[in-house]
Amino acid sequence: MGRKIRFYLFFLVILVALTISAIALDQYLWKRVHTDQMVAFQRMVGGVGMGAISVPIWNFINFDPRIQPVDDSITWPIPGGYSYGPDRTATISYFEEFPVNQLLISPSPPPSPPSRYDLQPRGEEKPAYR
Amino acid sequence: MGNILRNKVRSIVLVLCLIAVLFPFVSAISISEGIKFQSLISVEEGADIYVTGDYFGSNAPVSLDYLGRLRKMEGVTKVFPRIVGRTYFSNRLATLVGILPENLPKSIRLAQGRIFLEKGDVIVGEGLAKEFRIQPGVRFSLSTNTSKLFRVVGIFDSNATIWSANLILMSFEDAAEFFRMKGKATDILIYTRPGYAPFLAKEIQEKMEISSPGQLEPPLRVQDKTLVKRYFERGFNYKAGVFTALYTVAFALAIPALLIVSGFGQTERRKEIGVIKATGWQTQEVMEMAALENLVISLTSAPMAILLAMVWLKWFNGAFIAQFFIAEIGLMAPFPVPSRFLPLPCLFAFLFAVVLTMVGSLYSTWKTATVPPVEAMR
Repeated sequence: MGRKIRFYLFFLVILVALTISAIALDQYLWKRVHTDQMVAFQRMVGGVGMGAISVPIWNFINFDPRIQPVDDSITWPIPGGYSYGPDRTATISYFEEFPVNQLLISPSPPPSPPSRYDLQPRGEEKPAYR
Repeated sequence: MGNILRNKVRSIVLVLCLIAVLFPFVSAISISEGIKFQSLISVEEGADIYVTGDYFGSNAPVSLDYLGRLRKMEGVTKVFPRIVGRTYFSNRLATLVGILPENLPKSIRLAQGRIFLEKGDVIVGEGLAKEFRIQPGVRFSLSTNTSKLFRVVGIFDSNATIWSANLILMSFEDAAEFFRMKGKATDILIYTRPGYAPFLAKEIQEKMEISSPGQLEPPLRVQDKTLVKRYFERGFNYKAGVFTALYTVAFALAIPALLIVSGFGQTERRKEIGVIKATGWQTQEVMEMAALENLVISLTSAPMAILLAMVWLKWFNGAFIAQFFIAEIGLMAPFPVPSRFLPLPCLFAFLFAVVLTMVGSLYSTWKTATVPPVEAMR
């Protein structure tokens, strides 16, 4: 084995060891990260911010879907299929609306609440023509 | 190993190409993990239930009249209204948050100044403060409501979260006056006893509107923590997954295409394979040699890309590149860019490099190794 090869192998071992140590150190630092400021801030404001964006441009959904879970920018009539809200271009987070079933189909019409005519005493009904 | 050192230029170009490919990938995943960490704190420390109005299918302000009724519900420990809006601070978009002064914790540490005590006092984010050179004591008004005068009394610590950088925090009353929305909040935050939240959310949705059928208020939208956690899980995992998949496909196709089109180093490679075949090497041995070379190249480039990403994100705060992953921060982020290097994405980066180099070279090596040595050396 030549001197150059030995040197390269040594470099490789150092490089890999350094990388593994750096990852381990980062893991350790994140475990010990002082979250108290983050926790105090989020408790104070009741939870603000979720996505990879620092301010809500155009709409709030990518900033924090709790504040606006509906992407109303997609309803804007922009011809040509323009990629709507620019904050939708965020590459590492993307919040979308959850579909909620609001369709209720009944086999027969549900009983209607008593109308004001039903509550009136007999004999006092108003004629249909009035 | 000797081959790699002999073909120095080819090896260096290959390593640099792989670093160029892996660097944005590792950076994106680590920033994503860092923001995910902060986002999870936002979800966990947020309210158990968020109640807003529902105007034509979108969230809308909710009346403060609900506060009393919500406070009386069983299992509710705390209820408070909040205003979250957006406004321009000069030419910079800012998030404006109004909370009740009693919500201000004494433990909050500010970079400068103090928490607000009087009407018109605000705390601004460090991003805004740095950009406009704001110090505690500065008075300002905003064009949305010029009659409302504010005074900066504190500046947030940039270590809080990425969302506090361009945030203006004030009292609920001030925010309501500023937006001219008296008696309304953007949402009502409800904190409950453990286990009560799902039932309360259902009860609020069902009973709150029925109990006042003649009301003029719009229907309510109720979001509990379970739903918010679903936003979080899908918002990060889905998008990060899509990014990884697209990235893998794009570069898995681009690199071999580039190598084939450019034919970089192919002549020397052919000659080299021809010579070793002529000295008695079998095709299988040639393939093994190529695979080992690729492995060593990947083992060199992946750690270098990881270390470079680490240095760039931690020491240079992701200058110039963080804006591709966190929208609206500019060339230099006004806050520490959160980046978390987990072992799995780093391992994935190495495997990614192995796959790319293998895809780019194994077929061409095999093709060369199966022709007669004389033809290969020509």
